[in-house]
Amino acid sequence: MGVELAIAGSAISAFGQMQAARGTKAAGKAALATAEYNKSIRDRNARVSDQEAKLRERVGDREVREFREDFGKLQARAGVAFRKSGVIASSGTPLEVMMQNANEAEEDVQTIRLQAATDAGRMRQQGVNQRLAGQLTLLEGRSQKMAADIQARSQMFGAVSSAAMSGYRISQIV
Amino acid sequence: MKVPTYDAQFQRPRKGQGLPITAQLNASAMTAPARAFTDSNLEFAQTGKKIADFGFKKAEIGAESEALRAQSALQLELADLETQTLKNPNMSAAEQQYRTGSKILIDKYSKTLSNSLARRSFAASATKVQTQGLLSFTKLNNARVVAAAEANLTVDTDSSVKIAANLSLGPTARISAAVSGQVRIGDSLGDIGAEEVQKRSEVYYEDLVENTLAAHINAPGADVMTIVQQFREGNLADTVLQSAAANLTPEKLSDIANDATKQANNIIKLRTNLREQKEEQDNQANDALHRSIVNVDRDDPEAVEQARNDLDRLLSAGYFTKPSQVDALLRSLESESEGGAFPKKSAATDDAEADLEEKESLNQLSYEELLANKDKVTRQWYTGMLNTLEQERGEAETDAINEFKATFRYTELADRELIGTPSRQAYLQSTRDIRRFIRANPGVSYQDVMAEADRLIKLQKPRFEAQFEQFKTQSLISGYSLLTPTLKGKIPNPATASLEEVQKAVAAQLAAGSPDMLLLGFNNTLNKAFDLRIFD
Repeated sequence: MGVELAIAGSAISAFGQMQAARGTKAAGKAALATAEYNKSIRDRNARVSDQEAKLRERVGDREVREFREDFGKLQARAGVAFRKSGVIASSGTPLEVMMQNANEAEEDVQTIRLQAATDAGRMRQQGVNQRLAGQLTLLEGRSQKMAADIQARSQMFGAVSSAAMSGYRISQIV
Repeated sequence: MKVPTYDAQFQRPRKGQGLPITAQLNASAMTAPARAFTDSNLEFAQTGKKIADFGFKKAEIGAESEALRAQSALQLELADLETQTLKNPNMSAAEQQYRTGSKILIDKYSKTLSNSLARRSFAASATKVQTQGLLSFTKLNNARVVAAAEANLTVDTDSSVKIAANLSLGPTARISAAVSGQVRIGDSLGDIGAEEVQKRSEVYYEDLVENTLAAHINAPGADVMTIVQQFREGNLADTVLQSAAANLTPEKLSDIANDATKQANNIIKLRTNLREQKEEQDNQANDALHRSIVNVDRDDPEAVEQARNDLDRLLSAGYFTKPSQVDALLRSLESESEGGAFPKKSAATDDAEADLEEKESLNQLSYEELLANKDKVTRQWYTGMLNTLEQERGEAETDAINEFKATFRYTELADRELIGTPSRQAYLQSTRDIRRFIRANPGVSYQDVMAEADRLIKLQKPRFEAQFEQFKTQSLISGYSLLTPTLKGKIPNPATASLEEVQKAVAAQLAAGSPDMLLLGFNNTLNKAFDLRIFD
């Protein structure tokens, strides 16, 4: 009776260990799938950041163009005003005033361009960050799967060795 | 003039509508079911392992138990094997026999076990038991070897002592044997050790001295006391004895001399006994000769003549102790012409023979009295009584006669004419019968004699009881009838009254000073009746 009990117990133990290995392997797969999913989200966020950066650059260019148009109109009204007052607008002080305006305007243009480039660069960096985070997530997932696979193999080996040991012990009894 | 100026004041939307998504899966949560499945199965495996361990343990315990039972049985059989093999006189073969037998036993028990685990467990313990058994056996076997060596040495030295003490051999052979024994003891140093060699040497010298001295003492016709005295003084001329005695202490020599003195006394006693035994044998032959004289056929003159010659031989051998013995025998051989006639059987001879038999039964009959009554008894009775007087009464006969005395209330003083008569008759008859039985069955055992005595008592007793009661009553009534009418009026009739009442009344009359002789006679009869009644 003792031998029969030992055989049944050994079989149950081996089956349980095999199932545990299967579970561990499944846990590894689940971890990898989770990482892939999280990476896809990060990739999508990176693409959004890139698009935002391009939009910002386009908005900056349009802002420069619109500013130049508006400033041109302002300079024209200033020349008209000088001329209406009998002041030769293309010499002396009026000219200096208009030069000063033009300098100020040009400074704003450069500011607009710098602002747009800065914003776009930051957004691209955000995209890079998301992409890197996604890759890290994927790496973590693969690493977890690899660990789970190793653990599952270890459990399977344990099951086989345990079964073999039990078989040996049974053979020593019978 | 007012000139318009421009200050930087641009504010426009700079971000698109795209927003990063923060939704992320939790890896731990996503792998939790699989890990739970793993944990569950690990628990399942653990349970299976516990069951398996329990099964293994159970199998191990069962196997150990089975092995232990086999081990116990093996121990018993090994003990038997040890006993059997120790009986083998060849110690070397016995050891091999034990080894082979123990291996066979182990194989036998191993085959009876149900599985290999039990067999392995048994094999381990069996090896231990076998080793212990072998050690025990080897110790005992080695002890046997030593004992055998000692026994062989004892046999050898005893043989040497025997030869050395044999006075019929020459001095060279005796001395050679004595030296050989001593050398044999010395050679056994390796077997028995120095201490044992020393002890055996002392015993050997002692044995040599004792046996040689005993040989001198036991020599036919030896003057034993002189030999012992010479030994005490160290003057006994014997080389072996002198050489051995030189190795013994004075105390030991003194002890040997004392023992030899006892032995010498025993020899003297033995010689005396042998002499007496020879005399006894001679006496038995003389007794047979005497019986042949007594029983000789008196009607055959030649036989009577031969008997007379035999009688002369007995006389010359000093057989007779009393002259009356010789006279009684001589008179029995006399013919009628020589005046040796015996009377024919009659009532008178019966009475005389009964009287003489009674005396003989009481050991009171002498040869003189028998001779004096020769003319009153028959020849047959006379020769029979001669035989009886010559023979000593045996224990069985004496006990049987005492049994008759007690049963029949016989007293030596019983008055034959009064109420003692039935006792006397029954006693004498039984005594005669038992003697006839003993003579008819020579060498009969004590038990048979007493059985015959019981038979005779059973035969005589009813008749005796009836006669005794009748005699007692008749004697009293007869005595009472002689009393005077006056006394009869004062004393109750014994036919109707009890003995106590009659005795009380008689005592009262005697106390009153009655001088009546008949009353005294009646009182005497009454006392006899009381005396005999105490045996009831």
